[in-house]
Amino acid sequence: MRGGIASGDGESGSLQLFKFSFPTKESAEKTLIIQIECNLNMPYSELKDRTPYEDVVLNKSATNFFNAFPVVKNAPVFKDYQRILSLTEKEFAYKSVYSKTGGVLNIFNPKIRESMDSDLKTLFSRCEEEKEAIRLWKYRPSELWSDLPPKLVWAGGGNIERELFLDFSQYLTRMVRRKEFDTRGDALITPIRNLREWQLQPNKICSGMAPIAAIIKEREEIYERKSAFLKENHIECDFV
Amino acid sequence: MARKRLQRYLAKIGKEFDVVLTEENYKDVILEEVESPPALLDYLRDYMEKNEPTLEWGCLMFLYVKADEEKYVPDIERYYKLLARYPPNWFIEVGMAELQLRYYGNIFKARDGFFKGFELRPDNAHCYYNLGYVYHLLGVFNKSFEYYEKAVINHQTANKPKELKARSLYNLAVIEMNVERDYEEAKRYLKEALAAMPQYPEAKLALKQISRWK
Repeated sequence: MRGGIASGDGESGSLQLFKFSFPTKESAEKTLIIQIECNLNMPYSELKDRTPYEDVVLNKSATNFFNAFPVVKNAPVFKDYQRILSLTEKEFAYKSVYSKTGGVLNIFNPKIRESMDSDLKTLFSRCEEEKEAIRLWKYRPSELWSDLPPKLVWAGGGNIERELFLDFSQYLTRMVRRKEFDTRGDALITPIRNLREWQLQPNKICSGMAPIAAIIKEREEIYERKSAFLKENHIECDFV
Repeated sequence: MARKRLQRYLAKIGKEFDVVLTEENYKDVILEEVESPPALLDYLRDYMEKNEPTLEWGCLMFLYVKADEEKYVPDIERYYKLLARYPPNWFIEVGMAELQLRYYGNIFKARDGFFKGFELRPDNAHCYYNLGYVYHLLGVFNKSFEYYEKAVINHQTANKPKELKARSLYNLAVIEMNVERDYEEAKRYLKEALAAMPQYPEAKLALKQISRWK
């Protein structure tokens, strides 16, 4: 498996190549989950060019994946992999989006709950059928996830987003190094401002595109691939 | 019980701030303490007329304003909670939204607080400006743009109208530059910002940089 297995120790963590800092325990923990989410959408020759996500859905078990990548079993993130790879029916229901991180663009967001989703609430009250509300909702950019629509949050990121995430981690570490913050608000708002600045600047990782554009493009592709895969396997999903 | 509580607040205000609050003067004292633009003073006058608050409300409001001035968070929260017994007022709701944003970094709660501010005082530039900022942090740039534009339109209702107008225009220019990549529009906003507030180093620098890029 190509890189990307991270370990965390509270408010800071160490990736394979460098040390980085994140402002809160929640965001430091999320760094690991974001990378796992990205890894699960990347095809591997060890899995016959399937993604771990596809392999687990097809086999209804993560055993094949863990056998293909025994290194994961000994990694500190093993339990996180186990949890994320328990792809039961819940994964295919609209509510599963609230268990996703939303990727690097949403690293500093608090845990998003359905009760915070006023768009969905409005659509449920307007539409006669729940399915119709969900169909409309999944395409609508949401302020809960930095303007990503729910379908792209559900789809997750991939290789480019993982690379961009590492780039942002380094960028942020440079920006906040030796900075002292007076309040939790200050410690959170400063990195968020750095994130919003970074996401709009052309980046060589994505051939000069702005990270936001590259992330959306990649997530669209992942969404298409996931949709096709689920349709092919006759798996019902609110997002497809 | 209520009487004892009132006596306690009055004693605290007398001892700590050397102010004697009475049924007759508390409304004027509050207006004096708030020291805000005429629009907000009118709002508070109106609030007091409509809701006929008590002397206890006057004490709590006085203590809230003092805690807010001193930026002492435990007291701000304490008096905010105690004031929740009375009809909501814009001053404390927006104060709490700012606390959520700048002290706790809780962007979603801050957003909700500023929206509540609109319910109490529609078309207020201070809320528009803060929502522009909140939506920038949320990464929803079209909404951020929309609220900064409204802040410019309604800038006269702000505490420092010219400064708020200039800062909103500057932020519009930043969105034009970074999101839309429309440097001509950005330039136009920056020039307007400098016309509203000539001593604005960030706007001067940005304008200089854009001119260099062209």
